[in-house]
Amino acid sequence: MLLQVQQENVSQKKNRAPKKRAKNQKRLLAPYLFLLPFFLLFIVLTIGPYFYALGLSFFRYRGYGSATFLGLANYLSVLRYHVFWTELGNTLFYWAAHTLPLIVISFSLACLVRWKLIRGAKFFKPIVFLPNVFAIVAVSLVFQNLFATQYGVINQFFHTTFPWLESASLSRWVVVLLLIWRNLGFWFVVFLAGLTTISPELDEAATIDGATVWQRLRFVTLPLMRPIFFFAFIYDAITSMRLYTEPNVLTAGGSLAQPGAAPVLNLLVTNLNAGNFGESSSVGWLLFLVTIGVAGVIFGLFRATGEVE
Amino acid sequence: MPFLKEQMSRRSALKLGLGVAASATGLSALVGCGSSTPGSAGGSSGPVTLNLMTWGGDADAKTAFSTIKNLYPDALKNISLKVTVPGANDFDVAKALRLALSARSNIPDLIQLNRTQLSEFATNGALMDLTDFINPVKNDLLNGALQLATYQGKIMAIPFQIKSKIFFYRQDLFERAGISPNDLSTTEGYIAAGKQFHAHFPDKYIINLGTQPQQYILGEFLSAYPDAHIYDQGSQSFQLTTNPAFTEVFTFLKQIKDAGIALPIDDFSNDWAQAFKNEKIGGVLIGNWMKEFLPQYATAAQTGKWAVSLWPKFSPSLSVDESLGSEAGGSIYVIPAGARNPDAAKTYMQHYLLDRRGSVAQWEAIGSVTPLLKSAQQDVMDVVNKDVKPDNVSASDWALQAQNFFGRSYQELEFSSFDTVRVFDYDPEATNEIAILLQALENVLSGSASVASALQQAQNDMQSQIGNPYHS
Repeated sequence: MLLQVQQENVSQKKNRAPKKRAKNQKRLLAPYLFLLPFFLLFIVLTIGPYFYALGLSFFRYRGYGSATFLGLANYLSVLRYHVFWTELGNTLFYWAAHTLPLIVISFSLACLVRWKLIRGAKFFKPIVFLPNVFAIVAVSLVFQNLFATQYGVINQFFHTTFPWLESASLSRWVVVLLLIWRNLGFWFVVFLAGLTTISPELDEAATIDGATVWQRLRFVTLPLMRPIFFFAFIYDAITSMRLYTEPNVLTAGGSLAQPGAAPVLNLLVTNLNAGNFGESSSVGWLLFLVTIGVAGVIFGLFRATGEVE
Repeated sequence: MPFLKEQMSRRSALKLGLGVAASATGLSALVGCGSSTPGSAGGSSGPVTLNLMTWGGDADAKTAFSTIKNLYPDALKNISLKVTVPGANDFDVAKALRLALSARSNIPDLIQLNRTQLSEFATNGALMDLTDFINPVKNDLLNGALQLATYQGKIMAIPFQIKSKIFFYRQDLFERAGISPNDLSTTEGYIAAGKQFHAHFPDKYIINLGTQPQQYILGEFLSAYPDAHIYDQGSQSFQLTTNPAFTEVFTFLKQIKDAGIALPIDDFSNDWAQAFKNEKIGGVLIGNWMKEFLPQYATAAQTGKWAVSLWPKFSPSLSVDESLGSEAGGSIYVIPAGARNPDAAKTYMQHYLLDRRGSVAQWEAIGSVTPLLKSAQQDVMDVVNKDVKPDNVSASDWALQAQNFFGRSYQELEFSSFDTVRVFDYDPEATNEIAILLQALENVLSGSASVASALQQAQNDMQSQIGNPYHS
């Protein structure tokens, strides 16, 4: 009898096992089905065009008619073109010149607000963030009015005629100023959010131990803010490599800036305008490699000076 | 996942999966594999929606269509208009056309382009040959209009707007400074007159020229040279260092810049309009389209103070007559080879731009595009001489119209400028070539390169970046 019951149990278990497996499979499958629409769209609209552009970069192709395979000729052509190096240099300059002041100023402002070292923080926060809300083109046009040679506010005020926007050596600094002013609010908010994650007890403990403001900043706040700084430098570098609107609207009124002040993306757009999709794609991929390189340098610097997760 | 356990049966999951897969398939088809089904040829069989592509805005195109449809209701009764505006300038239209050709889908029936882009699309067989269509009215077309529409012996476009060369100058200031436009006919005379003008009015200049000129300046000057090409198909080489046109034009502009007679600001810079308003600029060598901008910049306060003439010849330092030429020819309409409604497009164009009444009616309605038919010239002059403000135009706008701001002689001068039009021989890589040439000019004007070295650099750049512009 006992044996019979045991046998029945075993056979019931055997019958239930496939059902359980099927249920488990269904449970495992369900989240992927929910994720599927995103991945399909991502593959079709993002990854697909990336690889299409990669393929295109080996061809001479206008978008219609026949495509001629050129191998690496498009890449070599871009690399041999002095304008590419000039414009790449400009892009790196815009990044290097604005990123450190931007991050230092925005972090300082966040500290002032977080540590209640200034009054009227509620008023101060939206004011600092405001430039980030304005459209880039609108802001660039305002800067144009400020820095115009003959009738700009700055030159009129100082009775000067500096060609702020005509001379590449001057206009590059105006672009840097615009980048700092416009992005200040965004990083201010990011750093402020980062500072709120640091437990006030740590600060209090340091204060009780006799730490000065500078020591609290140096030995408590900065080490704990390290991941935020890492994110800030990486994110700002990536967006800087894609810089396009500010220099063009500011120095050329919306057409393409002269090479002395133009970002490297201009070369991509010039080729796009001329229907040279192959060369345009090769510029895009070279820019991608440069971006990876810059991000790698930042990663390396952070790793050399401490751990990066 | 209790929620899923309760809500999602196997059948539902399968349905979801199939639905997603079907959507993805549909999306892929939408993104990459669109195909077009040829529609009606646009004859009189049924209603046709004409897809017209232009840049900047759709207002003028819609006004023109409604004007022509009112004028010829029977001929256009089955045609309605859809205007597509892919962007602010002709580059955007060219890009949109390439995309449409690439996708073989939604190819517009009529596309406005600048003459600089015609060679690319015509060389690659993307446009309809309109020779037979235009031939019946060929003799009525102004010489400049016919040049505009012709590419390598075939008529590939419908001429829309000629951009002829006109010199706008402050007649009152010239008189006070003791300068006559005839004094400007030589380069030396122009520079001397510029110095005299500036000496008389220390805060004013006879011209404006900065270090980043607009690209149209190249087309304006180079088009005067009948034998100038950027690329020579015979020898398969770029001509920047061998054809004297480029050296002469660059040297001339550098001379003007260095002579101190030019206000150092560029066209369409932030200072430009303000400089006209503040009476800092006494003259401008430019295209006829400036008739629309200058009255607005200078404001009604300067009405009657500006006069117009053909460009000075600038000889003998320039080996050609610079009163000839054009600014990139002008703008045109083309019908793509893959257009869905080519017959409807032709019907509309026939009544819009190639018909005396139609072209005059649209000119009266819009005001900017002068008719290009010889038979329409007298009608235009009659309207100008009648000098009656249309009811739908405000008094302030009326005061700024060319015949009122510059005087009634403007229209006659513009017509005569159409006879001096020469179209530069743009090749299929014109956009890229002009961008490179403009960089060279900027280097010369900013003093960072000599004319010879800038042109040599530009030639090297063209060789390395473009190769043979006629290879598709």
